Amino acid sequence: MLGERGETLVVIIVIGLAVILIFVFPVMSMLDRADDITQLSVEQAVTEFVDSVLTTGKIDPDKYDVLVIQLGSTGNAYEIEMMARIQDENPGKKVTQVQANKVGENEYYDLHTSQLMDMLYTENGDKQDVYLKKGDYFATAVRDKNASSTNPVDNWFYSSTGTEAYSIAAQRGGLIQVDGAN
Amino acid sequence: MKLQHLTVIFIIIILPISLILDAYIKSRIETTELQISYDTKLTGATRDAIEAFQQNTVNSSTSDLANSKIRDVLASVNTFFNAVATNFNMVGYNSDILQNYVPALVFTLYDGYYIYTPFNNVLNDTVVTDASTYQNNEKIYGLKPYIYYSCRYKTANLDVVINYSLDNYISVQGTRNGIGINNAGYLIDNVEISNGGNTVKYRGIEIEEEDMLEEYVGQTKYPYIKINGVKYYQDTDGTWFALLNGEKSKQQNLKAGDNDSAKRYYKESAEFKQWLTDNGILDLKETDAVDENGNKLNDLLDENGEAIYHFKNQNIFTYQQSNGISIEEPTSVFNEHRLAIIRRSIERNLSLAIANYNKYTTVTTDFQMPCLKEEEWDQVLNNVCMISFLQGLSIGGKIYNGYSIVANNTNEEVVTESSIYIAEKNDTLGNPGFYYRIGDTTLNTQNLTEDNYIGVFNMDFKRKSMPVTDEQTDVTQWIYYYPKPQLGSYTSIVNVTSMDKRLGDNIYEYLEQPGLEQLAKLYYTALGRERYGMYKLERNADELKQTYM
Repeated sequence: MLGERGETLVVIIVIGLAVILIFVFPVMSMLDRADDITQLSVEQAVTEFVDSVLTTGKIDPDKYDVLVIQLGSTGNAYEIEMMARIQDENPGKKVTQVQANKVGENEYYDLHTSQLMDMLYTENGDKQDVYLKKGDYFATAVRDKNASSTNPVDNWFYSSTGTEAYSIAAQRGGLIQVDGAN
Repeated sequence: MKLQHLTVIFIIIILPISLILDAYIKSRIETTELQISYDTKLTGATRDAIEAFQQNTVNSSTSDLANSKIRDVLASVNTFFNAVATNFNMVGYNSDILQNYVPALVFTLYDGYYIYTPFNNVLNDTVVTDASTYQNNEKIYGLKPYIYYSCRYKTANLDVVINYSLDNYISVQGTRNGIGINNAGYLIDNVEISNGGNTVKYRGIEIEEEDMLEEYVGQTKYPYIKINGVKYYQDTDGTWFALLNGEKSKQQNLKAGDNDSAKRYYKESAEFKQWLTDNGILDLKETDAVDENGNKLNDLLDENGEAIYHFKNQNIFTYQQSNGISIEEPTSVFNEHRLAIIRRSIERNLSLAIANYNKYTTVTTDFQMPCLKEEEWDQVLNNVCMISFLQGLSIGGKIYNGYSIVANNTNEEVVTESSIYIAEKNDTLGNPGFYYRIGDTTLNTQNLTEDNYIGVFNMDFKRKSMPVTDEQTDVTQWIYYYPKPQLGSYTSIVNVTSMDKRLGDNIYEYLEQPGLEQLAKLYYTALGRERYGMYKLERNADELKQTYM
């Protein structure tokens, strides 16, 4: 029914499908699993770093360096954002001192990544701990810098757009448990 | 065979393999994510429990007494299980079921620790009735007897048990040449007593009597003296009272005027040193330490099985080491030995408790004590803390075996070297002034005289509450107050940004720097006063109070 040209077309289509089924989909599937494992490694690294800050009450630049190395070993580049929310009990204390049946509200102010990095790594190249206290809050978020999927095979079929499209991301935060400076 | 046939056969072979691999990896990922989630929930519950303990002890005037402490610890345990039940309710576990997965909870306190674990109730069959709360051989969850941080030492003429604590306070009980000996005190070097005991110097700084401290109770400021863990306030009419459950409880009149608690602290430590010398305790070596069977102690091992502490043939209580380190400093032989004894005691008793738990649990898991990391042991050995264990929950690919350690370094249990803050003395509500941490560079530029500044225990800055009854309406309401009105400094309390780089781990070394003599005097006086005022079981409280009358 199909002429010679038709048969050739079918053969080409079959070869194309065969290539896709035999090579492309298995590779895509394996790379997706690799992405999942990378996601897990990133989550574990971030959890370990944030937990060390929460339990010791201080941000240790050596532990931050370990986080950067662990993230780098996954083969991707990441944005690391840190935030420390510092509690100021003085305003609440003043309210209670004036009116004894009221518990005044505490104030909070934030220190972000660039401020914390300046405190961790000083201008003359020294590293120093950043001390937090009980009642402060600390969080870290890590995002894959490439907006599109890390899976290059996926990119043949579709691409992600938009600044919020991250394929690998992890975040963790919590309250500081002890005074770090003690 | 045609290409399309080969392709189909390839797909038939590869697709199932790929699907199974996919499902396996996904399940491993979910297991690890669930493990991280459970770790977070366990840490949150442990933090709630230790927070409850801190809140209860801050607002209690009897928290030092044994039965009050047991009540506070049990309240903390309740908080833990409630928090665990709340966190895990999403997956269908409630607190009764979860108790089966908690082999032990440990509360480390000032001079010992409690383990909360199940045990078999033992009752005399002749006294138990159907109406008894617990039956004989019934499994009960509860606190095991308090375990002190103690160690036995045996030599030719000495057989003593020494109890250690989180600071440099020890108590000694035992026999010397068959005669009983018993004493307790602080181990401090560099104390000079002269002028018939009237002049006391510590590290060259004269420790003098100071004015009575003042603090607010409600909205009124009272002078007070702290004796054996209780604060005695002088009322406006000259009588004295203590706070009991937030109410004023009248007390015998004390001698108002100067407070010499700091001087007593250093004087009595010098007397204790003499007692230790006279009774041969200073000659004790680490190799004299024995276990309950009389055998020498083995090395302490880390999580990899390598020895991290060896009990050497060296004197434990060397007041002044050849390298210039004094017995109260963090790197002294005594301090390292103390930490090793505490760690050994906790490790052994906790391992036993968790291993025994297998006899009580209905969960088909072999409960074992996990290896704690070295930095976790640092937390445990230097702070009041809670260690919780959660084992036996199924998380997909494996059984969950987790633990959490939450330390608390702001509590009433212990006055550590970092518990003393320096506060400005203009402490009226309208002009409260600030309080600073030792090492704040702001203090280096101030005139730190006793008229302007004073050393204060950090817990005195925490908010307290008390009930107040309106005399006209007879309605009771709770009010909040801060005993010390000073505000936290923005350079070392609210935000730690301006600390002296010379301050390392050894505060004694820091205070020996030139130009810090005034700061050292304030600090040593406050440290001595606060430590002397702490509750001590071995003291005769009535006799001590008499000396303040």
